Amino acid sequence: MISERLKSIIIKELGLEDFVIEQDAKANQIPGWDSLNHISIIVAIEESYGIRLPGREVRKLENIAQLQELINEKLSAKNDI
Amino acid sequence: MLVPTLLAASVFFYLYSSILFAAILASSILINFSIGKRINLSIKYKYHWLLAGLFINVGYICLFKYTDVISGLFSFIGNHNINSYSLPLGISFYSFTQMGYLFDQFEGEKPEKKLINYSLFVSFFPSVSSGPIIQNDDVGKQLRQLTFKQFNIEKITRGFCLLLIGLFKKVILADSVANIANEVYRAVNAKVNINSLEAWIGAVSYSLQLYFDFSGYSDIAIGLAWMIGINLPWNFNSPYKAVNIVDFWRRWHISLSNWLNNYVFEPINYGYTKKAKSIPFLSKTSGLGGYLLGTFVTMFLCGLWHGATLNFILWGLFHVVLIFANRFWNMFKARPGLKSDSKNQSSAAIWSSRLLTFVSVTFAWVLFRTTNLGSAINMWKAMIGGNGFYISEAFAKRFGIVINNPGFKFHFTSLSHPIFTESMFAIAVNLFLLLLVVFLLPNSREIMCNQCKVPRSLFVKKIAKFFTVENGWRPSYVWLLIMSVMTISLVTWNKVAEFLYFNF
Amino acid sequence: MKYKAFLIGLAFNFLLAIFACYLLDPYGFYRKIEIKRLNQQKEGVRNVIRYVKAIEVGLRKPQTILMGSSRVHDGINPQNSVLQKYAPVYNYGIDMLRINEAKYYLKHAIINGNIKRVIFGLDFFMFNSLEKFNPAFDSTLVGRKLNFIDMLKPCLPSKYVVADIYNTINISRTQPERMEFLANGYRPGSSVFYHLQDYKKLHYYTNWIFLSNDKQATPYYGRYVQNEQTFKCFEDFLDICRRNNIECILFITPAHALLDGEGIHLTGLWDKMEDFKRNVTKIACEKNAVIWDFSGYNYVTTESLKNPMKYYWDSSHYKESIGNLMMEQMMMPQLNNSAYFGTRLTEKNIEQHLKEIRTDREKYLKSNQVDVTWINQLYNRIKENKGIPKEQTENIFAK
Repeated sequence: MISERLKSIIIKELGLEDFVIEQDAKANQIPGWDSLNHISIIVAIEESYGIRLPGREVRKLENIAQLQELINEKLSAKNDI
Repeated sequence: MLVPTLLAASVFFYLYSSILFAAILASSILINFSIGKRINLSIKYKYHWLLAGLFINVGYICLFKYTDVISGLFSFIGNHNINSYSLPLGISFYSFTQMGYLFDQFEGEKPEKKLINYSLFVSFFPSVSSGPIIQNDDVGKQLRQLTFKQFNIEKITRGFCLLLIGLFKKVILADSVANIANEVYRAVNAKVNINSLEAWIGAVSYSLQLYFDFSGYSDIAIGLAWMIGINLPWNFNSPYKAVNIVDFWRRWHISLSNWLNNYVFEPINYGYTKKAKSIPFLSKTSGLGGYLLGTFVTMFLCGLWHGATLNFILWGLFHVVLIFANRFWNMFKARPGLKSDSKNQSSAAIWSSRLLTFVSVTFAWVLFRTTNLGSAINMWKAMIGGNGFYISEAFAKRFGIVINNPGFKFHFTSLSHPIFTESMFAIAVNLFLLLLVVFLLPNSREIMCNQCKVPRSLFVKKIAKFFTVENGWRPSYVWLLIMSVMTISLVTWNKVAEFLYFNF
Repeated sequence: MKYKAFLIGLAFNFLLAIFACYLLDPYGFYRKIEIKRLNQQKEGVRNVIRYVKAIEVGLRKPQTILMGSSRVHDGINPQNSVLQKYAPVYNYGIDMLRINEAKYYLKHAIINGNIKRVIFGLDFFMFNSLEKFNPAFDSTLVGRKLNFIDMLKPCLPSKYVVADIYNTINISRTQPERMEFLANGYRPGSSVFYHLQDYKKLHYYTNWIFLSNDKQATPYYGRYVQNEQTFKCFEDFLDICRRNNIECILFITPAHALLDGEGIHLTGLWDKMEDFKRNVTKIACEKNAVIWDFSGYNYVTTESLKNPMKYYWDSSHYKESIGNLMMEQMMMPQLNNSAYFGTRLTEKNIEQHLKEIRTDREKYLKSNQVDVTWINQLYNRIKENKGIPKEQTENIFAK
């Protein structure tokens, strides 16, 4: 389940207005998500949630849903400490 | 006990190059293994240990590659064989593999506990000399989990076929254009004024030579590893079919560009973007700024990795300019990015993008081939017609064009210097066939890789069926014929062949 | 198709290819099948003569070898009747042989063969120390015992062997009368100079090559340096013969007087040439080797330039009849054939002999002014740094 919050971060960073991010969406299917904007999207996510997404783990993700899972994982890890 | 056997084989292979080089490799392995442990265990000094490790590896490369230490050491131990390579085999590759390992340790990955496993991972003989650069959680893991039971005739056959394809690319295809490129560059270095046709023949020949040579060698490494049961990462994916320069770097020397992306580009981009966000006048362009800075440093290092001369650095910077140009072009087109495999583009648009990319990359490769800036400039000048555009005499006569009039800066010339030993017809056929292979034929990954999903049109599906590759490569009479012909390269390997990437 | 069948098929095809290379034999080592229009013209030899001779001498195991440059290679038939009592005879001539290389090739023949006799044709250009070894000389091969791998290599289907097979079949088909590389090492001049139609132009070309001062080209007379080292090498050569009880018969080869006479004079090498003859005579006599001189201004070497010529192909290469005559004179001097034109050299007669050559030259200059003018004009053109005239290189051979 991709949260609305994550969707809005992505849409804001890429300057998209009407784009709908499907549940099975992949990064390369979203217009403008390439190496130029990848890092700024990640930084925006990190700042919004207050978490850290290591490059190593982001690289292993295959779609946006998995990104959401990673975010959830980091959030619960943060809340556990 | 597979790991010790493979390690012994790798040691034997490496000792063949020189005992001195093996000692250097061994010391590098020991140092990196212990630093890797320290990074993992330490809490306060993780960063310091990482820096130390990076410093030592870079130091190894700089010391043994860019100074005369090696020739000095050789004389000291009494080795006067002038045919010895002057730098430790694969030092750039195994150093980068290990730096990647240290970075991964820093990011919290599980360390390699046993020295014997780590040693095999670094010195694995198919990839130690010319790559691909490998990761511990991929190839390292495979090596640890390998058993004798996993050997089977299918993998051995497929591995051997891929090895043959790689050999064929190297000793037949690359060598056929190497002669042409050498003849043109010899003339350029001797300051002979070659015309535009001769210059382009030389430049395109070199682009093809570089591709077939290096991708051929990667195929040999991957094929050899397949025979053992290990999957090395693919290093090339039809780079000259790239539709823009960014796409090119996703297809050329993939293991290096991935390495640079993961350990240089992204960290720098990330660091800058974060910092810039808190600085008022930079925060709006923090993303773009991070991208530009990251690209600049990455490509600068990429050039430097190949050599410490001005030409290699300029080559890296040349690519920086190409990448920036591509990004600004996209921004001005006011579309949120151009996809490399967009189905919305017409065939003509795709092919002209490919041509433009190929031409840009070919211009850049001139810096790779020449040893000083002067020669590169001579070559570029000739390519853009500075010594005369080539035009056939018959054509000139027909259209009343004046040739050989050096009064104009850019003039026409039909002068063809006798710099080629082969006939122009033979050269044209040679180049045409190789360009066909590079632009139209599937690459070795698309042919041999069973797990790779390659999208196919209906027409291509029919061809795939004829060549029994519709569900991944399968042996057939067609392939028996093709491979039998390619065994010619097995024997030709015996002669000393020009190994371009062997000195890295 | 099953994987196992595929691998077996691949191995089988590879062995088949080896067998095909063995039969087609582009280097002429095995000669199991020799079919006209298929492989009678062994084109594989053409660019790798130094390699082929090194392998072949081990295969043929001759008792007598004919050594020298292409003058021996193209002009002395091992089947010559006077040589038959010394059979098997192998023509070990190598194009552009240098004296340094000759030493190693001699050692190589001794190690790999059964040599009892060497007949060695000396050339003045062989002693040019500007190029001690031809670039194609392989020091890792010549001088050691040949092994199984050396014998196997020519059968393995590499891209070089395949290209040589292609050329062999191609030329055998289009020039079926041509058989340039024989099993006994001989290269019959009629095949080397196949379809020669313009002798005079070919002579022009030869002289041009020899007298040229082009730095990129092989040095002959246009760039010549005389050095003690080459004579030391010659001495070593004779020592090797003595140590191995090998009879050594030497002769100075007869190129056309316009080349080895006028050409040498024009390039200022006349005195060096005389010293060369003095030195080799002295060394030969010291080492008890027989030495003959067929060069100079005799009736053979002064043949007038015309189309066709009787004694010469080009200015450097004499025809087989001359080769036969020389062998006859050296092996059977007692026949006193009036056609004999060589002189046996000794320390006693060398000075007289050189004086006679000078006299003969004076006579030649007077009675052959057309040819002399011809060579002078050629040399002047070289000195003026003009290239060879285009028409001199065209239509020398018929299609």
